[in-house]
Amino acid sequence: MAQQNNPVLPRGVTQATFEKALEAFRALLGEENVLAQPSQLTPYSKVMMSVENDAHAPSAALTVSSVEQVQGVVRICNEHKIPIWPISTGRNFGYGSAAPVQRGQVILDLKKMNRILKVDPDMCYALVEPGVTYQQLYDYIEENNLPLMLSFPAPSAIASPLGNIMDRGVGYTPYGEHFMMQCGMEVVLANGDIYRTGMGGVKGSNTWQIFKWGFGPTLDGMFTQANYGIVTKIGFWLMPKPPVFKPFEVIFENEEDIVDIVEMLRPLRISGTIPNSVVIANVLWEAGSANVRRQTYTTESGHTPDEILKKIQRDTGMGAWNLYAALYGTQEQVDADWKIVSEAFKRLGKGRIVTQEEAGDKQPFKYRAQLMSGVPNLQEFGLYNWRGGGGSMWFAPVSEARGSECEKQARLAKRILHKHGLDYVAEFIVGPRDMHHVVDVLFDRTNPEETARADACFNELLDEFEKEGYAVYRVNTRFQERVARSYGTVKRDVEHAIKRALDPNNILAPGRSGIDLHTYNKV
Amino acid sequence: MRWSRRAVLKSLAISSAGLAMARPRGTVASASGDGRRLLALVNDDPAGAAFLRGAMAAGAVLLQARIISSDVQALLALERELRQADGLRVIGLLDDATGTLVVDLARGAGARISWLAQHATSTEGSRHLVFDIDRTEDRTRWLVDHLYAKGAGYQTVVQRRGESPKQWSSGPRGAAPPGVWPGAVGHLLGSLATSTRAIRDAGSDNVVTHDKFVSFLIEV
Ligand SMILES: Cc1cc2nc3c(=O)[nH]c(=O)nc-3n(C[C@H](O)[C@H](O)[C@H](O)COP(=O)(O)OP(=O)(O)OC[C@H]3O[C@@H](n4cnc5c(N)ncnc54)[C@H](O)[C@@H]3O)c2cc1C
Repeated sequence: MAQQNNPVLPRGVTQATFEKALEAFRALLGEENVLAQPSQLTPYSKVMMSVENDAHAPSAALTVSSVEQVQGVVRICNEHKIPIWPISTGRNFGYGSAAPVQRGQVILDLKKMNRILKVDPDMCYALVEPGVTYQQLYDYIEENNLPLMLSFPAPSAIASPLGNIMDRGVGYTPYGEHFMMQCGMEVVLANGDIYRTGMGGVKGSNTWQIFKWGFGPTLDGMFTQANYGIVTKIGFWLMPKPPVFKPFEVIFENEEDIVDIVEMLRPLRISGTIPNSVVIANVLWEAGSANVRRQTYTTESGHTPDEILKKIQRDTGMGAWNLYAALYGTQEQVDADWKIVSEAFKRLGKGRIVTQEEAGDKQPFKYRAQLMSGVPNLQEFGLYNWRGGGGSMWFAPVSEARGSECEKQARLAKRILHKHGLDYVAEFIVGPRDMHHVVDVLFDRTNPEETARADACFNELLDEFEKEGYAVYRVNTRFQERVARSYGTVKRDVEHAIKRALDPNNILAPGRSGIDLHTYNKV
Repeated sequence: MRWSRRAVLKSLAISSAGLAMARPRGTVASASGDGRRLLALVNDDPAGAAFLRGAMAAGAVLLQARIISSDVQALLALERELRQADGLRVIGLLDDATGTLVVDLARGAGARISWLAQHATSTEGSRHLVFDIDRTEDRTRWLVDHLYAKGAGYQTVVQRRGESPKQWSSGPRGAAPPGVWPGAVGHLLGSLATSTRAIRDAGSDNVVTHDKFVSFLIEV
C-alpha cells in the first residue's frame, strides 16, 4: 500500500529507504502487523516525561508472533539500517512507557508472543514469552490449582515478567529482586542468531530453568537494561505458596523516624527473619495510592506544605512513614518470626502495628497485602491523581540500608523537589543491604511552565545526588544518556566495544542506557 | 463532595445497570454514521455527567455509558471487549489514573486512537494538551472558539507528530464559568465519533471541578 510521507523517520534514513523497509516488513509480517498510521502510533507515543510526545515518537510499530519473525525483522533492519525498539508489554510507565528512546525508532512490539511455555510446580519455575502478563500467569496458576506464588511490580495485572526483568524491576515478596530469580533466556542477536544463556545451549538439557550459570562466562545480565539482543523467552523461579501469610503495617508519625526504622529493620532483613522486599512509603505515596487528591487540601500551585501533610496524617491515620512487610511459612514458623519482629518493634518504642485483622479491606493496606502475596491489582495508579496532569518520572537512587543514609537522601530529594514546586512522593524498597529509594516526580503536563520545572528538577536531582556519590538504578528514556555518564567512561567504553562486536549496524535500540555507536565517539 | 453513581446515571436518564442504551430526546437514530457501537467511559463525578450530556447533545446515539475506575477486573474486561470487538468506538473523560490505563489497554488490544488530550481546570479557566492525530485541528479550534464564546479562559497546546506545537490562549471574560469545558469536550468527541458534521451548541453546563482528566476516542 502506498504511504503518505511519514513526518517521523528513523535517524539518518531517507523516506525512500524507509518505504522500502516498510514494504519488506509488510511482506514478512502482513499488512495488519505494520503500523504506520498516526492513529495506530498514538497509543505508543503517550509518554509521561517532561518533553513533548514528539521527542519520542516512533516512525512505525511492528507486531510479531514468532521467533522466526523476529529474526526476519532483524535481517530487514540490518539491510536498511533501521533502528528498532523492542517492548514486551510496553507498560514501562514513568520510565518511558512504550515509546522509544530516540525519535523515529521502529517499535518491535512482542505482545503477540504470549505463550506460557512451561510452569513446573515441582521445580517451581516458569518459562514464558515476552507478551505474557502477570495476570495471565496468575490465572494459569489459579486455574490449575498450582501451589505457587508470583512476585510482581505494582502494575502487576498488565505488566510482563519478561519486560520487568529486562528493566531489572522489583516486587514485594521474598522473590522481589526479579533479576536475581531469573534463570535462562533465549535471545535473538543482531545477526539473527539465537542464543540461549546458562544451560540452554546444551542439547537435551532439562536444567535450563534450574541452574543459572552454565559453563564459562555468564552473560544474562548484559541483556538487561541493554541493547545487545531481543529476548524472546525467559525463565524465572517461583516461590512455593506458603501455608500461612501474615502481612502487617507499622505506622510512624514523624519524618525523622526513618533513621530508627531502617536501623531496626536491616538485621531482620539480612537474617531473613523478614524475608520479603519491605516497603517504607511516605505520607504522600500512601495518600496517592489511597486515592487522596491534592485539590481536596489545596489548589495552590507549588509543593504541598508540611502542615497539609500533617493534616492528611490526622485525617487518614496514615503515618509520615508507613512500613509494609510480611511473614511466610507454616503457622509455627510465622508465630516464631512474629514474636521476634513484634518484639523488635516494641523495643523501638515507636510505630503502631496494624495487622490484616485490624485493617480489613482498607486501602492502601489491602493492595499492599495483595502485592506481598502475589495477587494482581492496579491500585497504585492512584498516584497519578494526586497532582494529575499526566506527568510522572521515577527518580530511583540506590541507597545503603543504613538509617542515616536514607534520611540524608530523603532530605536532599525533598529539598530539591520543593525548590521546584513539586512534592516528595517516595518509598524505600528494602533489600537486605540496599534500598531502592523511589521518588515519583509527579507534574502537570497541561502546564508548560510546570513541565519545564519538572525537567529542571529531574536534572538537579541527578546532579546533586551524583555529587554525594549516589546514582539511580534505572531511569526514563529522556535521561538515560545522562545517567550513563554517572557510571564512568571505562564502563561505557566496554559497553560500546560489546555493541560494536554484536551489533555493528547499531540497529538494536541505539541510545538504550546511553549505548549508541552513532553518538559515542571514543574508539 | 461525594458524587453518587446514581446521580450520574439519573442525570442522563439511563438505566441503573450502567450499561444501558440511551437515546437523547430529539436526536436522529441514524446519526451514528457507520452504525458502529459507541461506548462512553466516565468517572462517577459531575465532569463525567457533563461530558455525557455534551456527547448526547452532539447526537451521539446508541450511546452506552459506563462508569469506570482503575478497578483491575473492570479494566481487564474492557481490554477483552476491545480485543474481541468488531466495530466499536469508545469515547471518554477519565481521571489520569484510569485514563492512562484505558489508553494503554487500547494499545495492547490493537485499537486506534483518534483523539487524545489531557485537561485541567485552573484559576484562569482550563488547560488542554491535545495530541492532534488525524488532523483534528478544526475540532480543537471549535473547542477553543466555544470556550471563548462562553467567556471562559483557556490555554490550549496542540502537539502533532513532526511539527512544532500550536498554542491558543485567552483569559476569562466577565463572570465566566470555568467549568464549561467537560461538556464541550463531550460534545466534541460525540460529534467526532459519530462523524456529525454540524456541531450544534454544546450548552453551558458549568461543572465545579479541580480534578484533571484524560479524554480520548478509541476505535476498533
Ligand atoms: C503506579 C506504578 C507503580 C509501579 N511500580 C513498580 C514496581 O513496583 N516495580 C517495578 O519494577 N516497576 C514499577 N513500575 C514501573 C513499570 O510499570 C513496571 O516496571 C513494568 O513491569 C514495566 O513494563 P513492562 O513489564 O510492560 O515492560 P516493557 O515496557 O515491555 O519493557 C521494559 C523495557 O525493557 C526493554 N525490553 C522489553 N522487552 C524486551 C525484550 N524482549 N528484549 C530486550 N529488551 C526488552 C525495553 O527497553 C523496555 O522499555 C510502576 C509503574 C507505575 C505506573
